Amino acid sequence: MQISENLAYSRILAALQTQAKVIRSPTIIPELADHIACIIEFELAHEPDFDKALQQALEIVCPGGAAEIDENITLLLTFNFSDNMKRLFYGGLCTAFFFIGNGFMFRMLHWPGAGIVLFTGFMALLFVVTPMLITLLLNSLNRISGLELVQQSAAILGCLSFSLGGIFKVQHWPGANISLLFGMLALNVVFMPIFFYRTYKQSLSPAA
Amino acid sequence: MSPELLKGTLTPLILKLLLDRGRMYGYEITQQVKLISRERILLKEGTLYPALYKLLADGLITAEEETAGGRARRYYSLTQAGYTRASEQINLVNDFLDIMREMFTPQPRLGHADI
Repeated sequence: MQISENLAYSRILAALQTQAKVIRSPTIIPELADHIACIIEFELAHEPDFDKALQQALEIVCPGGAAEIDENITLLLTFNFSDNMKRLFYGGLCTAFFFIGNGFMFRMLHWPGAGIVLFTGFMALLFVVTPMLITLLLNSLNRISGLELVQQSAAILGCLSFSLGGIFKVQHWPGANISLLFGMLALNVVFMPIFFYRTYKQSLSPAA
Repeated sequence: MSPELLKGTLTPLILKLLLDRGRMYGYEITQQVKLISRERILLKEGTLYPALYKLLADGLITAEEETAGGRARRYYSLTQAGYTRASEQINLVNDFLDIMREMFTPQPRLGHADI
């Protein structure tokens, strides 16, 4: 089967483009298309049905889709950047949990300084964790499932609303309760169930 | 071949192939590895292309597009920095293999001959 600049080659390109709607390394699609065409020409020449051959070649070259290879390229090229992002995100999350958790303990035990401890935690949640969550969502918008999108959106809205509510509460400003309530609902009713469901599903997969 | 053992040798492998053959394209690299290793090493495309793009970003290889059989084909070849790195990497891998060979070759047990 000779594949040149004809319908067959266009179909390979179209199949790859369908798999990856947004590509960060634009040269990868024609490169993978050439690779697939070579496989069909040399390794699947016995297959008379082009569609079947194309499916088999796609399965060999990019079983996880062309977007996965593109994502791996981006990851490899921006490794240090994503490493620092993770460090900042988990550092901010850890700080927020530490201060909010201890702030609640201080308040329940009527120890002095509860307000400032809580305030620090909410500020970390608002100014470090929430912007990082937004960045992560925007970076992965084209490759995440619907459920993941709902989970991440709930996390952003929940963190934003909860931290603002907390700051308002500490400062005795109006609107704190409704903001806290909305934030807790987004985190507890939407984010948490999806997060645990997805973690459970991942634990069942053979790769885990 | 265990992917664990292959980890870390992919870059030297690509550089060595390009050093030997001048310029190659993606499919050719996978086939050459398959051929030389007598089908014991099967290079996955999902590993090869990210590695090639990383080498390209590091300035160790260069890419030029050509039309082959009516379709665009990307050929890779070593840059000057790539030649230097390839030689260094080949020496490093050979040293490593020598050490491993020494460590994994069964040695006669010594120290119990005083009976």
